[in-house]
Amino acid sequence: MKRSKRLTLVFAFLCAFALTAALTAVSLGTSRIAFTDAASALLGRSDDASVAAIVSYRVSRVALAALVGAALSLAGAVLQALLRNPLADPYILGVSGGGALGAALYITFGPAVLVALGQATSASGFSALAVAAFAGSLAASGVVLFAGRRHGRILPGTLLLVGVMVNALSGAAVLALTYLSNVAQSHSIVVWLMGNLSTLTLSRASLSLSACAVIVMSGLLWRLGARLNLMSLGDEAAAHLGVNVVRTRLVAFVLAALLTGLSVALAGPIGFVGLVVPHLTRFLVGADHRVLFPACALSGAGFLMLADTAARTMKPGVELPVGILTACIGAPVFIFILRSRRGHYFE
Amino acid sequence: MNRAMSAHSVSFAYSVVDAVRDVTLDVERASFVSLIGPNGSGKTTLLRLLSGVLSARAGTVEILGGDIRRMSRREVARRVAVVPQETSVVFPFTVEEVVLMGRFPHLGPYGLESKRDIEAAREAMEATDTTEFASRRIQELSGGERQRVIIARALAQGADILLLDEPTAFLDIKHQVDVATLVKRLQRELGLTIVMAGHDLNLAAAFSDSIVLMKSGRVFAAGAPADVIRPEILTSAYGTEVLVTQLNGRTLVAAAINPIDIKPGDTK
Repeated sequence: MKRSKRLTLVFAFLCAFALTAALTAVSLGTSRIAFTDAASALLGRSDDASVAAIVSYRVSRVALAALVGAALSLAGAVLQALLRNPLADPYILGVSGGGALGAALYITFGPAVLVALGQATSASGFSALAVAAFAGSLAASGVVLFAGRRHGRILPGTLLLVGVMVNALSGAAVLALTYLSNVAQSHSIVVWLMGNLSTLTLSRASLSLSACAVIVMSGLLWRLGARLNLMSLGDEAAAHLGVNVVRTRLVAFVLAALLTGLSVALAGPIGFVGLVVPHLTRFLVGADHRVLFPACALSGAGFLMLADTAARTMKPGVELPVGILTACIGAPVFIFILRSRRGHYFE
Repeated sequence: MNRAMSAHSVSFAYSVVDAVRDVTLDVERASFVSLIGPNGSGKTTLLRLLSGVLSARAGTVEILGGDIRRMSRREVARRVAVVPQETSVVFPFTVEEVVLMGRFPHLGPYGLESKRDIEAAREAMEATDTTEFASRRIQELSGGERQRVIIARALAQGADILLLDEPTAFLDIKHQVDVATLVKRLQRELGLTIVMAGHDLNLAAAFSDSIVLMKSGRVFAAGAPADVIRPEILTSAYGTEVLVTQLNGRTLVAAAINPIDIKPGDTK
């Protein structure tokens, strides 16, 4: 019973953290808004039209940050368990490389070549660039899942290496495209590669659609929680305890690939969140995935909202790539916790 | 009717060579069966066939009268629990969480433990004397403690049959005896059926109701300890001279080691 009390406290803390992060992110920017004003504007009770307008503009971006942060953290936690490797991150499945290749192809050859893509885009409300990146990510993770299998079973070690190779191959192709394209195009590619939570080309409807997708997939993942606990002890142990290992692994991989592909499509490859947040959260709540997943979603969302706020406001008038901030905040905190007593679980 | 599990002419090959050939075996309910034999004789493969993680190329395996191939993993897991040689845990699970994992085959659709599951885990920890570790991380425990926790997990599983694959392989003499004694006690007190593979012939001789000696994938000898633990049989099975003697009413088995004469300073 001590444990459940502790967990309630931890979740209360994580909810407060995510909420504070959201309010901070909405309040801070080129023009500052008081916390209370931001809160009342969020609840639709603001008298000041200009405040309401700013809040409504920022809300999309903050929501995107929360969504991407949660999706990447969940995907990272799943892949670390499935590969039984604490160094795994969501991009290990080739998703980031494939997404980058899709984006670079679209930027270089443009809608002139990818007409069909352009049409699919206007129908869905997502930008053509996002659709191209999503298609690239899915293609890459498809290749990795296919090549990482033998006799219908996914081999974690093989899968990991194939993922690294696919990322390397896509990286080479992206480099070639950057080199061959004109200055404006290569600049766009480089900017995309840095990751970016701008919502200028993202409609409210498609943002809501993405949010629904992430929520549904998180729910499905949560239901795999008990199985993933057992699978992090190894395939044979999980099978002895009654888990259908082959099916669980496939479903979990596909969900992780979809979550990652969606966030790469919406925001580019934002590094570090998916590696660090699962570990930070494990220090807090332990390794049980049924607890870890919701905790990861909350802390990942809060973490990326704060990192993006810092990226927007650090230097007035300039927007730093958020990936710089996630690494600058995440790495030192991670090392500090790793060296503390609670973090002592790596050998 | 009193059979816990049985194998009829079971064969299995990982590649070309058969790892288990035409093995037939009956395990009585609530008995303690030891599986011995040289390395590579097929003990582990046979255990994996009995637990259903491998399916036999030929022959059938029955658990409590039912064909294992007709059961789902979950159904098998409610009847058979397995204790492996070693368990490596990558993430910081606590002992209590690891023991609760044994309840997986009994969980409902949402995969959450009920009061009954928590009670079963608590009883399993008491029976294996691991309650004091409950909130510690599994990585912090010694090999012997960790093995007791894994036995607790197997108990929590609520299965009637316990398969153990060299559970004492990495333990010192005291912990070997502790773990084996614990397993024997569980058989006596809870009526569990035990099938334990191992290399410790003394433990096998002391605790088993019957012993199956394997060689090259086949059953080389089987029967009561007194019929199998004999110098001529063991010497022929292991390919090295084995001595069997009685001391204070106990059977002692040892390899006949002939010391080679090495003078000091001879080593390179």
